[in-house]
Amino acid sequence: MREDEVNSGQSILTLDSDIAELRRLGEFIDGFCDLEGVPREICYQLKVALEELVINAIMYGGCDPGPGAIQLSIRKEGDEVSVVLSDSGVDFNPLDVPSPDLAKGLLDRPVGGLGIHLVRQLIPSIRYERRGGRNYLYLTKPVKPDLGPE
Amino acid sequence: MEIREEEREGVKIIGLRGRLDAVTSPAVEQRLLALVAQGEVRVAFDLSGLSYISSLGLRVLMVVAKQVQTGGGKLALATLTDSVREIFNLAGFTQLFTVCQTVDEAVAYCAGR
Repeated sequence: MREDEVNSGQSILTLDSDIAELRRLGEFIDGFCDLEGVPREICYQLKVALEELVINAIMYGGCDPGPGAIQLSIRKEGDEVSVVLSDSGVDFNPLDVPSPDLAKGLLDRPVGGLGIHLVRQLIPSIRYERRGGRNYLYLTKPVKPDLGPE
Repeated sequence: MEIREEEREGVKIIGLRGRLDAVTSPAVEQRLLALVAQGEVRVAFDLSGLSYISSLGLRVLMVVAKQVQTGGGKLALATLTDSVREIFNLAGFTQLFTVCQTVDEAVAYCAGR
């Protein structure tokens, strides 16, 4: 297991390609949000979105099940949280997955595509890039400033 | 993740306590689908103890709801926390599912009252 680093305002997490690592992901995001005063609601939504993307990388990305397959860096700048998520899997852009047809009823709606739809709802700005044999996702989410006590 | 089960008016009340995520979802899905296969097609969920749900958790609920619907049954969700409710809204689930304020309402719906 790699130690988390805090480096020039960025927090970096390295994950092995293993579902058991998801708990570390959650704890890492909680720790970051605590440190930076990110509201609980935003923290929760970040965890849901990142869990989905990391799961995709682990289950469908064909990452070698070795250490360091997935790397995440997160920082807060002003009213935004920025995340860079990269993995060593096959060329795969999760944004290419079509959104589900929300007009369809329960029995008609396929179960797949739900996760990416949720990610798009939770993270307003997502950009994909393939570079040096890795997939990169650049995510930005606004953080409503804490109003604090009246 | 803890699953509590009780019965009232012929309705199975399932209480989920803890996290429904990638780690816990498979076992929960297995248990719930087994219940439906045994003929439990009136299912009310008490989600007051659900602290976290991710897309894999949502998927479990969707799969179970489909099975219940195919079996001509009824499923309702009750007492969602604010964070979980927000995720449901964003996933478009509030249109797909019957969501109730209280477990009593969910039981009444499933019992066909």
